[in-house]
Amino acid sequence: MILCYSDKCRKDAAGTAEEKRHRNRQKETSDGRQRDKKQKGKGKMEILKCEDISKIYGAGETEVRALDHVSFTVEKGEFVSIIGPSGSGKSTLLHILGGVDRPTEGKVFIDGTDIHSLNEDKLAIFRRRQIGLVYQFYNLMPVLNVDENIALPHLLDGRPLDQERLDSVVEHLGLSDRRRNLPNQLSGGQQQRVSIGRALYSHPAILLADEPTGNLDRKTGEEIVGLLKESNRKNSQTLILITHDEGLAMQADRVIGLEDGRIIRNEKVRNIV
Amino acid sequence: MKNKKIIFKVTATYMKKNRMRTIITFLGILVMVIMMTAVFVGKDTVMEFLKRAVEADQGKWHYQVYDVDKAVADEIAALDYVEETGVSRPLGYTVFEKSGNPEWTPYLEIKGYSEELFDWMNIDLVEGRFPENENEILISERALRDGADIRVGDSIAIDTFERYIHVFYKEGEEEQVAAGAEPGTLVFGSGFHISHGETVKLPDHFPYLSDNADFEAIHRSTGLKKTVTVSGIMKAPYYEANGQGGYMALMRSGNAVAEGEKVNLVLKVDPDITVRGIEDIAKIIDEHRTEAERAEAEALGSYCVAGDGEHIPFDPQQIVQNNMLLTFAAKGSDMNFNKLMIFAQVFFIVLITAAALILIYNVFSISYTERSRYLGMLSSVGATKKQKKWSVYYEVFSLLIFALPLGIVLGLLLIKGAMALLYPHFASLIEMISANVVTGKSCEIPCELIVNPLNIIFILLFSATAVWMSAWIPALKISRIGPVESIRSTDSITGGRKKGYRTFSRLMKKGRTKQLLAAASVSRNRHTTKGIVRSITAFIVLTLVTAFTVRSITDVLKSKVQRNEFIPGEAFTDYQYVFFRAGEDYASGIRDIMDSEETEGYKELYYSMFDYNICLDDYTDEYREKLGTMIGKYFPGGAPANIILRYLEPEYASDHPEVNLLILTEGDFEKLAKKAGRDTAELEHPVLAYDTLELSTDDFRFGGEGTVKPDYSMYRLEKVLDLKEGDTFTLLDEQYVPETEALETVEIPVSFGGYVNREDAEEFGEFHGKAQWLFVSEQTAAYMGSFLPGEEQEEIGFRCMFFSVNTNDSDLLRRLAQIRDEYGDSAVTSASILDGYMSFKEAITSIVGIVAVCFTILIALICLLNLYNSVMGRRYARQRELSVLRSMGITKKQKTGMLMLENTRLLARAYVYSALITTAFVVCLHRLLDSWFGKMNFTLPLWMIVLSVLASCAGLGLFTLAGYGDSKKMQLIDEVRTEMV
Repeated sequence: MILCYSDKCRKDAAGTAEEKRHRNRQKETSDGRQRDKKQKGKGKMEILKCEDISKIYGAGETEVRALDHVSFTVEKGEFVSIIGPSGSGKSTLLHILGGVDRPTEGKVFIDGTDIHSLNEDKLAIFRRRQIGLVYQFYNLMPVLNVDENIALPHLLDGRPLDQERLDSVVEHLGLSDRRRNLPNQLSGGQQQRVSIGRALYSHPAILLADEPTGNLDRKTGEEIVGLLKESNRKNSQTLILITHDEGLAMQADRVIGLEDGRIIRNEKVRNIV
Repeated sequence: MKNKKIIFKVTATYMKKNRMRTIITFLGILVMVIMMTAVFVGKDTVMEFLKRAVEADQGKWHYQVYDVDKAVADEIAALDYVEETGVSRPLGYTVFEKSGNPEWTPYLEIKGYSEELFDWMNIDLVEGRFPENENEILISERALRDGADIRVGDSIAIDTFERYIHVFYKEGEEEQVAAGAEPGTLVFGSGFHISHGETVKLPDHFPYLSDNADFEAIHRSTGLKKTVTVSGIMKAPYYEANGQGGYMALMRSGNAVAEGEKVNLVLKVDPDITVRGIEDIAKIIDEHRTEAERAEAEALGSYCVAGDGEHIPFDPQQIVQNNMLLTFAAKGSDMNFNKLMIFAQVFFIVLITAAALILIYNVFSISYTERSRYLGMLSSVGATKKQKKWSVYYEVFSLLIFALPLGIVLGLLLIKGAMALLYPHFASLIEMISANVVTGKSCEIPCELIVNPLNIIFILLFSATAVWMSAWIPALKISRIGPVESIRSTDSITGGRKKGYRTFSRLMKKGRTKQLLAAASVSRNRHTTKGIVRSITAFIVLTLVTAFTVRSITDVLKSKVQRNEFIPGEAFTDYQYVFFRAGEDYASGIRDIMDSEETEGYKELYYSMFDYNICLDDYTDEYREKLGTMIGKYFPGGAPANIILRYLEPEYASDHPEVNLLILTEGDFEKLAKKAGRDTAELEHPVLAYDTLELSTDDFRFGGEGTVKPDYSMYRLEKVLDLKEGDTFTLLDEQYVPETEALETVEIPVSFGGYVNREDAEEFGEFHGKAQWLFVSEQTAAYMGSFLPGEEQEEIGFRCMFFSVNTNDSDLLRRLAQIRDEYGDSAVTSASILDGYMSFKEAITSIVGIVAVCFTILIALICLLNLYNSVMGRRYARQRELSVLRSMGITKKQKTGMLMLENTRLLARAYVYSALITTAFVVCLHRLLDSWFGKMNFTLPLWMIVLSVLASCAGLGLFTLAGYGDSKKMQLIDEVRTEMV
């Protein structure tokens, strides 16, 4: 796909300012990947690091400590499941990792950047380039159809549409006959697929999925997880998945268990097995 | 009701949770009630104020019928709408020995009033009391001011007489008349002509005339001779003028009319019953006429048409109505004006209802999604359609209960405040038009709120109906929605198309995300988009329709009431005084003015009106056609030959259309020509023409068989002369040639220098009427004067001098004030009287204008509130959507860009709808007013169009920026999670 852009850029040497900006971004991405490759050669690379994260809601008697000094790291390309009972702080943790919520204490480093030190706009740009979020309740744009919803983060980044990739993602997600439909014309499973498509389309470094199968039947849920795992495997994307389902969690490389806002387990799946 | 309780409870919770929306709905209803109150109570209050102004000026009577006997008086009093009658008796004049001004006012002019007339005629006491019997008399304060030595309690001997005048024949004329020649006439100003040899009774209030070679004054005793006691001194009654020969004096007389007695009958009628007062009274009088009297009445040429279509001859001076007083009860003789008053009231009510209706409808329409969600949930647990419908009604009516009393109170306060604010303006208008300009009376009219209980009932009914109407459709829609659709909200975002929506591929390929999001949001988000478009459309349409209607009403009133052919402009009215006189008096007066050291500045006005004519052939076809149409309105069966010959195929010079002339100094003429872009330097005797002329039904008076009095209509015509710049044409004049003893036409060739428009000529004045206004230089005027008979060149018109003095104690003014005309009126007067040419209708035009501007502002406010509500409603409905966009990484700049692009699309859509709807409204309104008032040039309120477009742009932009600002307290994830109820 990158080559495809490069070819296009070469063809149109007198491209627009937008295209020039896009070329620069491609160059940055390409340089980053080369840097990754070099580092990969030296050993496993840490892509996410949580340092002593706490999240407190309310104050005084109504104070609720959703996260209590949570620290862990995730390596690039790793598939991590976060499990725990309701109210254990799983979703809060994921949202803090995704930059949509801020911790009361502690820091989150993604690719070496303390994301919560960024201002609103820089954090927004960071999110659309580095993070793909899949919500339990899909959170699709109700006025955009399937194609538009999937391409949204990519387009927000000022990049022109890659039609070929869009076609491939839509086809892969089994939404080819639903491309023009708005979210309220889709079933829950289809909406979740669109949500995953949106997360995958722009090649984010980290995929964060908040109970993506919570509202779906087992078969559809398995299909959805399959899609996420496939992307994790094929594109070396880091995948962090929140689930209640122990079986699903065991498909990950590592499982982090949360209870009352604290990590009670953090171990490789093969060790568990 | 029990089964609705839970629904009401849930609705109340919803209302509390959505406080802002509830407040906006409440404000909408409140403003509507305030405005309803303002219309109903405000109209009554303003009308009552104006009525009191008229009463203070003209009295509280509705009709006065002069010179009627007992039989006629009894029949008139028996008319079903006559509420009260009073009797006034002209008792005649008596010599007033104690007069302080015997040279000009040597008499007392005595009237006998029945008790109620002292009140109806606004007789105000300065001291003493009203007469209580027939031996007491009340004397005008004017007598004391002129130095009369009289006090309350003094006795006066009266010996009354009627005043006649006999005009002598000129030498040898008596024989000529006896041989069949027409006698000459003597003119006593104000059109009072007496033929030589005649003896005529002088009308009331006539100036004092001392005998001279031309006439003699004759006193004929009426037989009333006694001594009376002065019971009091009164302020000068409204009808007493400075030039009268007698000071007004009033005695008490009975209400009963004796057999054989002739009295003046004064009537008060019930204005709520539609009256044809003039026609009914004229008919009664006519039925008691002898054949000779009827022939005499017919000779006056005035007719009125009775209900059965019968033409009744009547003397307009015999039946007088207090038209303005009746007009304020919408019962005046001027039906167009009445229509206009009713139209204005209905229009404002409809407008307010429409604005409130759209606001309330919008509130429900915008919150449709959220509302349908909770109602859907209720529906899923068994709520019926009726219960859901009642949820909407509960909301509006629970707000209405609070809004009604508050709105009425605030409405009353608003009127009170507005009247207090506008009072000085109203008072100055009233002052200008009322008699105090002439009599120097002060005019203080208290302004009180007029709260009619019936109006309060109307307000309650109208408000409840408007609220019910506006909630009805949303209630119906919401009641129909099922639980599944509610929860999935398939109806809120357009989901009807099974095939889905075409992808905005072009925008996506070009990476135009903001445009993509804006386009998708506007075209696919049904309710909220419609709400905003509806709000902007309502704002523009209602504001423009109000502005257009107000402008039209003002135009109609202005054109209808604008009877003055010429109102001097700033070039003249910047001065304090104006000096009018003719002949040598004028020449010495202006010499005084020009030479005096007290003179601060002066400017002479020189004009001629209706003295010259332009041949009908020199007018355009359009003018001739419209002239024919206008005359045709009086003759539905076709104009008779003599009328056609006189007006449409004129033979004599004076029958051709008349022209008015404003004669300017060379400098002013060149300045005007230059301003209008006309080059007259090379033309011989150049003439500039005003580019507009007004032909109205008021310009013609036709009577007799086959004639009807048409409704008022007016044609404003432009550039009516069929001439090109540089063309030579002739001004026509008719002159009496003693040698031939006949009128001969004089043709004066002049050059047409082109047209000047209102802006070009406004410095010199405003020009109206059916006669073409021409501007000539003094040199051209002198050339025209050379065509006049006689050896010396003469003036072709009238002159007056505007001037200012630099002192409050001016000898110059005192000297000039000594120059008086035959009525004793001073030749100097305040220049502000020229501004005070305003009539009551003009004052009303201004007041309607002021009130209308207030309404336009209120309507605009209600619409802006609506727009704010729509923008906020849309913003709340999109909260989650916007949060998702933020979580997807939209930056603030991108978001603002997207919102502004959305606004552009919304505005574009709203402007198209507004243009269509406003045009349709305006065309309908134009046709309606056209059918009532004739073809008129209604002006489009262009500045209002620009203003409403700018205001809608700015309003939407500002509300968007304010509404879509990031909530700092809330974390993004909290926004994403927020479930709007």
